[in-house]
Amino acid sequence: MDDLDGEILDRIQRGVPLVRRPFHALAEELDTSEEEVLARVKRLRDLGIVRRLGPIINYRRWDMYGALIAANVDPERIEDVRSVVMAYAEVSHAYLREHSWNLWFTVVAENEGVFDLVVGDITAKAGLRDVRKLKRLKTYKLKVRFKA
Amino acid sequence: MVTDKEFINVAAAGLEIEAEPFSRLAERFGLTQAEVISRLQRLIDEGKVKRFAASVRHKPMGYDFNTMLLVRGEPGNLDRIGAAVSRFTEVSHCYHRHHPDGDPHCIYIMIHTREKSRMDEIIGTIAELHGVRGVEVCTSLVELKKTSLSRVSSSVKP
Repeated sequence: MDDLDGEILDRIQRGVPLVRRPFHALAEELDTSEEEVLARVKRLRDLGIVRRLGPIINYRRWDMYGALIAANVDPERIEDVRSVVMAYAEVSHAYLREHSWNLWFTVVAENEGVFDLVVGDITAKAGLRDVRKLKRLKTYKLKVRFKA
Repeated sequence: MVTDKEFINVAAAGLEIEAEPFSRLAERFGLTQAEVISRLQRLIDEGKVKRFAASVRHKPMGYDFNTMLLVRGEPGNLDRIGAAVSRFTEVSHCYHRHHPDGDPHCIYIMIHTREKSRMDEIIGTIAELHGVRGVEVCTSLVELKKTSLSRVSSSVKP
């Protein structure tokens, strides 16, 4: 990765210009060609660095219900957890962590009823114990941006 | 006319990297590209979409050290701790939530660094902040899933 890759990554993490030819707009800003920007963004995607170019959804404004779940799972059942969380679009992140609560995942659902249904199904299928629903009470910071 | 929910559920899959990336959405919904773009702009103006942007994987960018910290704070000092922690550029998320054991005064922090020494330095600094009662380092052992929120309506019904 060179400086131009870094500038492109920085810029597209802040936002893709909402115009008919966004990569052309980026090229003008960065003083290069549309072809160059397209080729580089494709390469960044192929390298696995760019995961998606899309809308970052503010679920609260859609009246959705979200929380972090902490639970305990038998590490031998980790593949059960993986297959059931992969099946639910409502689960965005899931990690096995080094802690007495060893399973952590985030669920965002259309409403609390769906939320509880999803968590209940994961609990049953993977044998979770001590399941805790942890609502976000205050946001001090939310800024997911990585410098190249 | 396509509803905002239908629209965003499809748009959330993300763009192809091509010269006119909004053309596929336009075709899908029988809209012009200008209509697709103004719909996205309106959803941003309404706060329903924070931004239209790249999501990146931090590991291939060299951020090899990624940790969640649970920081228990004195009740009157949570805001001060949250503000101090948020100043680190390496901190992406900083939220107040209950600790799973029931302690209501807990701050959750996600930290990403390229070097272990920097991670240790940040954790050490946070542990020394005024009002901090204890720090638990919850290193991830297995990443089971990591995606972007991709639907605003559900795949299941209760």
